[in-house]
Amino acid sequence: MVGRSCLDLAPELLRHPEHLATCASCRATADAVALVAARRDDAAPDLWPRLRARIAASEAASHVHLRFPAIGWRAAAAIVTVAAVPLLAPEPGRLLAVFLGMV
Amino acid sequence: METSDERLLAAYRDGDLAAFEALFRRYQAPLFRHLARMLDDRAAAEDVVIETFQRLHVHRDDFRAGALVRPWVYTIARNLARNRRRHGRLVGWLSLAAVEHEPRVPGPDGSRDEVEGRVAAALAALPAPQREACSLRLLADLSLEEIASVTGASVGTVKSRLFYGQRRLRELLGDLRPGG
Repeated sequence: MVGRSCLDLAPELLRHPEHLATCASCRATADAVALVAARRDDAAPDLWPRLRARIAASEAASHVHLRFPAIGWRAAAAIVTVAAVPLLAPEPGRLLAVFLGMV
Repeated sequence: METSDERLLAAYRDGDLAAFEALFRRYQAPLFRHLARMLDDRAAAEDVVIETFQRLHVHRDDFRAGALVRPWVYTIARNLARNRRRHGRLVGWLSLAAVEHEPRVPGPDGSRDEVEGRVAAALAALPAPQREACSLRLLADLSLEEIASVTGASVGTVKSRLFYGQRRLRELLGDLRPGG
């Protein structure tokens, strides 16, 4: 079996004990790979509580309803009047100046 | 026999929250380890794991019948991690590949911390595509076809990246022995 290009020809040779027993190059590679794969046993944090909280928060936010404060009829009338003056008055700027006592 | 990922997701789509938790617990550790290696930031890796499954939750009804969950999960995670890099919140893939990592010499007793440091440095020293392929294969145990699906590369390209990545790992870790 060819030594240096074994894995190039057949990557699965890394998992064949019979080949590794006879090929020092592949054995060294398998050892290095095993060091990395051993990190699978490293402790990982429990993230489920955070995920559950985030999903619950996003679900709650999607059900928010906008509510406006209640206003009386006098306040409503004042708002309509102020909004209508610029549309109806021929010279709204002059009208405002008169209102403010500047003329 | 263990319930498949696809059946768990289907159960969650029908309202079974316990199925979603089971699916998440199956993925959180390998996904976290992979992202921690790629992002070199445990806190960021935790965020991306959570965001990945939040996306899964939001788009659970978009999952096509016959598709596989695992490549979908890792593809979402990959895109989220790359978005983080693009927004400059982390020193991600490219900057890690540009940094010279000198493998530290282990202590006389080859302590676990030293070995962990050497392994982390060796992975970080790989070019980003090789590091990603090795991490997905060795830490997340994805198949060659799944890695190809996640990364958008051909199976042949994945094989090549694994070959050169593993060879480089051998050069950097050849003086250590497994079990340390």
